Formats: sequence, structure tokens, C-alpha cells
Amino acid sequence: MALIYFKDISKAYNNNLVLDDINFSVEAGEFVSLVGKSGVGKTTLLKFIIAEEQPSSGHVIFDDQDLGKLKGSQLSLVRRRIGTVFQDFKLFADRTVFENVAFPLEVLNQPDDIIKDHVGEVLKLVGLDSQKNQLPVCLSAGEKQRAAIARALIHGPDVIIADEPTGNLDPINTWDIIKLLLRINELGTAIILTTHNKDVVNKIGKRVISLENGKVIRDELNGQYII
Amino acid sequence: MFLSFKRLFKASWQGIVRNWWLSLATILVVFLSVLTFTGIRLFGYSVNRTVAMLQERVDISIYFNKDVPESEIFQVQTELEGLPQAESVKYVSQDETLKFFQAKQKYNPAIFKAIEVLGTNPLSPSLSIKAKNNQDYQSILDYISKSGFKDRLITVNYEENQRVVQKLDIVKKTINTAAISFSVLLVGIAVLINFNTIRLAIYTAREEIRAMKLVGAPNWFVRGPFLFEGTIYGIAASVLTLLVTSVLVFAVSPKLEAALPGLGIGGYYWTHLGWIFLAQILFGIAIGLVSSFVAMNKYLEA
Repeated sequence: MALIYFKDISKAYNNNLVLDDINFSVEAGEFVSLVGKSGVGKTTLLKFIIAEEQPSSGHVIFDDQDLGKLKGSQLSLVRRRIGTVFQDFKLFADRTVFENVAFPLEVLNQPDDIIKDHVGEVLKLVGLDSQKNQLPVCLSAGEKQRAAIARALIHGPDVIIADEPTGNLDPINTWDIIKLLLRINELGTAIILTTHNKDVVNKIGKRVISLENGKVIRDELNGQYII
Repeated sequence: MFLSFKRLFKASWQGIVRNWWLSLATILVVFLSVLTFTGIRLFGYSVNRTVAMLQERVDISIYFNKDVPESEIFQVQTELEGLPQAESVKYVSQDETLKFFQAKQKYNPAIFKAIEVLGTNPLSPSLSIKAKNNQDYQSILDYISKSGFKDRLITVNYEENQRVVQKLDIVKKTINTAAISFSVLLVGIAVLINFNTIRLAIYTAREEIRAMKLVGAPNWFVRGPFLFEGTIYGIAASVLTLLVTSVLVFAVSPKLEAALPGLGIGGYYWTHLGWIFLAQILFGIAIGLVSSFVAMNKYLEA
């Protein structure tokens, strides 16, 4: 059974069809890159997974649950099984790195000592151990992105969705982030990555879904960025 | 439960301290709202007390013929005291009436001279009747006009008093209506300003609120710290208001007492300090909480 299933998805903004009859699924533990030109609907597909937006037609099924039918607390429960890395980080400005990363565990009502240990481990994994008491404003773009990944990872989600996580980063930081995502994937978490970066996609050597004119034009297990 | 409460409190306290300038501005705006609320309450007390003081001076005076013996006047006094509408009935003898009269006319030697020439006390004994309520004076007058002792009276002095009472009633009603309208307007404006200030504070955190929702936080978890902040703003503003009003009452009440003896605003304030503070806290918390609650709704839809 697929972890996430996009079934007959279409999306239109003001009668402008952005996504048209999208059908694909993502299995548990998979690494999937969504590629395509700007405006092709990659981010919109990711927003469907966290129900930030709803498709105009079709269904997004997460672990057998139709996200379009979930409300309130049910939706919160599903979102807790997803880690989200936003392109603009969306870190909490008035909380330290430690507090940002600890937030999903606080939502899960974990005790303080477990939070302390777990956040410490994850911050070591992403290389931010020494900056745990800094506010986000004091971090570089690469560090902010690593903090965002740590927050997405901390509660052991089934899948991490990463929307252009390297969009604002230099090549060195870009590779650090990609290596980190690959490592997280090796530990069993599914990753869905959207990116424009051809080199990154080609070097990852994992499944690639290519979008063009609102449709899936290619879906290959060891794919390349070919648009 | 305790853990969640502790975290909510910690998050709201951090929000206040780390955005201290915005918190301070919000507390000051809530303070103005609570101060307005308190000022209106004290103004209302002053108006009611002033009118009550003036009403206390109103009575019906019935003057007896000089030949009516004192024992008969006492019988009338007892009879009138038995009326359910009567608060008190006071006997004023001829001698007392003369003393009052002389005291009132002490700067008019011609009057003194005239009384001396007469050689006797020309004034009549009287009964001074106070009603329990202003509305009761008319029924007491009706009773007197139908009573068996009406022929023993020279005059009933109420018309002047009646005019004062009627005017006072009109003044009191007008002031009360104006005060209520003005209060509603002022408190309404204060609450609106307050709401907008808190909305601004929450607006600056809208992206965070959205991100919290998207990482799976339930509404109460996101809303909690902001509601706590609203509560803390209300408490801080109430304490500040209490300090400011206490200093103001301490400084101004002696002067008000000198101008309007018996007003007792200082006494009222200090004896009701607990209730006033409770009202301030409840009002402050209510506007802080309600403003936060309403202002957040828009951003919790994600």
C-alpha cells in the first residue's frame, strides 16, 4: 500500500488549469524528486500533502486517509506524521534553534528530558549543535535550512517534504543539505524533494517525476532531470 | 496537563519578553482601556453621591399654629412616623426655629431689631419629614392634606423642595443617560484600539502561526500562548491602573472633599479597593483574551 497517493488530481486558479489529471504514488522509504519549470505545480502538489491547499478535483490519500475529508484534529494528527521543509524556512523568529527543533515534540507532549536528548542528537546530525541557543536571525541561510530540516525530522515522520530546500543556498551548502536528506532517507524516512537544480537531481540517482504543462511527462526510478 | 500548562506559560512569557517593545505598547493600550473603565466607574459614583447628598437635604416641613400644645405635635409626630413612606420625622421647637433663623440672618441686623421690638418669638414649631424615596413625598403630602390635624397647620413647606427634587431627578437621569452613552462610546473606542493593537501583535506572528499549524500543532496549542499573553497584558495593565488611580485618588480626593463635603470618593475608593481591582482585572483580562481570541481566528484556518 502506497504511503501517499495522488489520484486524478487537477488544480485550477481562476480557470487557469495548473495541474491536470495527476496520478502517482509514493511508497514508504522512497526518495522522490519532483522536477519541472517554475509554475508547473510542484509546490502545489506538496501543499496538497499537508492539506495547505485542496485540489480542484481528485483525491490525495495519505496512508489510506483521504486528506480532503479530514478536519481539525484529524488533520493535525496526519500533519504530525509529515515533516515539512519550507523554501523560506518558516522558522519561529522569537524561538532559539533548540526551541524551534523541539516544537514538534512539544506538540506531541513529550517530556522535557526526552526532548533535550532527542533535540541534542538531531542538532548534532545536522551540524547545529553549537548554535542551539541562537535565534534564527543570527544564522546563515544554510544553517537556517539545516535547522528547518532538523525540525522536520525530529519527531520521526513517515515522510519529509522539502520544497526547494536548496533554492537559496550556495553549492557547498546545497550538497550538505542533499547529503543530509539522503542520510535521513537511508534511515527509512520517505523524502519528496522539489528542485530546479539539474546537477543535484542527476547525482542523487533516485526516482524522478517530471512535470510539464500541468502533467506528469516522465516517472523513472533512476531518473534524470530532462526537460 | 501540567506540562502543557507550563509550556504554554513559558511560550507566552518568552513572547512577551522577546518582543518587549510590542508587549509594552500593548500593555499601555490595555492600561488606557482599564483606566477609562475605572474613571467612568468613579465618575458614576461621584454623580450618584452628589445627587444623593442633595436629595438628603430635601424634606417636608409642616408648621403648626403657635397655640398648638407640644403634646399634640408629638402625637402628630408619632402618627407620621407610622407612615411606611416616612424615613424620619423631626420635631423643631419654636426656640430651635428662632435659633436657626437668627443664625441664617446673622448679617441682617434689621431682622434682629424687628424681633427684639416684637418681644415674643413670632416663629412656629414644625415637624420636618423625610421620605424613604423621592416618589413618596407626594403621598405624604396627600396624607397630610386629608389628615385630622390639617386645620392645626399654618403652612406646609414643600413646593420649593418639590421643585428641587424634580430638577434633581431630571439632572440625575440626564447625567446617568449621558454617562452611560459616553461610557459605552469610550469603552467601545478603547476596546477597538486595544483589539487593533493585539491584532497587530498577532499579525506580526501570522507566518509562525501558519507554520505551527502546518507542522501539526492543534488550534489550542497555537492559540494558548497568545491567550496567555492577552491575560498577562490584562493583569499588568490592571496593576498599572490600580497604581495610577490610587495615586490620583490620594492626591485629588482631599480637594474634592473640601469642595463637596460628604462626597467621600477617597473613602469609597479605599474601602472598595478589592472590588475595584477585581473589576479592573476582569475587564483587562476580558479585553485581552477576547481580542487575542478573535484576532487569531483568521490565521488558524490553515
